[in-house]
Amino acid sequence: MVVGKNMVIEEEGHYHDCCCEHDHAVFNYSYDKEPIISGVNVTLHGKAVIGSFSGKIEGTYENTLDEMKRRLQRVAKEVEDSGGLIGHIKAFVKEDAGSCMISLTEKDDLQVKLCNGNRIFINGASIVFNIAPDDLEKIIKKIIK
Amino acid sequence: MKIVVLGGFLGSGKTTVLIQLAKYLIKNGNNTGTQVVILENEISKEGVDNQLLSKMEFKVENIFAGCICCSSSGQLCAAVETIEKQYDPQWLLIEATGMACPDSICTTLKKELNLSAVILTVVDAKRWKRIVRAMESFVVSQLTKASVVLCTKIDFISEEHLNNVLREIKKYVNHADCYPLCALDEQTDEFWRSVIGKLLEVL
Repeated sequence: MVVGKNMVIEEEGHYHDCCCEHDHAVFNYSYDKEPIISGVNVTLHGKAVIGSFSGKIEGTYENTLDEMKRRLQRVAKEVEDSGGLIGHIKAFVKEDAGSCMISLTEKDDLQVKLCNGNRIFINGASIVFNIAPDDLEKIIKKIIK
Repeated sequence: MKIVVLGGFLGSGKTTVLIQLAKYLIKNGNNTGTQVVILENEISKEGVDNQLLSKMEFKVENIFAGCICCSSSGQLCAAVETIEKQYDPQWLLIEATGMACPDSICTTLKKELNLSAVILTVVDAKRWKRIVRAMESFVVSQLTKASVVLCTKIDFISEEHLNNVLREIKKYVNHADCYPLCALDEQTDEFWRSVIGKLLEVL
């Protein structure tokens, strides 16, 4: 186990005989301070550096989708600017479909409106190469949150 | 239960191909029992593709945060056994991670469960040269045992570029049938019949 500034890295490297001819090491980053997008997790698989993130955002679905598009493009740009090779950068953005609004203006005038919801759930992954795990983690934290 | 392993590099279009293939198999199934179950493997801790597939109401089982060709091969066997017992589907479509060697998945299934599987590999024609230059041996490992190769994103490249890519793919996997396509376009039933016919020859 390696303890770094504001993070704990647990190393679980192992060797195997799969045809990829690589070793696998897993680094789990536990942050002292949770970012708005929680669960930022960077792992290694062979030469690939995998940054996963998830979280909730307050806002409309359309705005969040547009914002996520812009931010993922910025992640891609920063990875390439840092000399990295992009494997796949993706995110699934879904709204809290279960939300609804109940309102009354008179005692017999109850209205239930299904809303788009104002909590947007995001799950994302950036799978890239030729970049240090620390650098990918910094890029995700800086841009996505 | 016929098993197809979808392999191919990250972002090559495996999920897009998988959706079309699954829809075709469901539409043309015999309407008895479960036609298709998808086993989705993602290398990241957070699943992304599985959410898209679940929204489309496919039956999906997931393995996250590991690669079923190696570090999560134990989970692969457990998941396949569960799927067989619970659904006994006509088809099990396994979407490997973009970092997986599909042949290792087939070897595990054969060795541990005595199940045969066939490999369909998806190749991104647009990024082919860049990816091969960066990691040739890995790309080759995804191709060599494939029975069918689908060469996607051809709408982004010239005919000359495509022909070069197809020639290079054939160097690595001469025995496989190679189909160029734009995976975002809906492929014809005839196309999928041909692909499935080839897969069944091997199964």
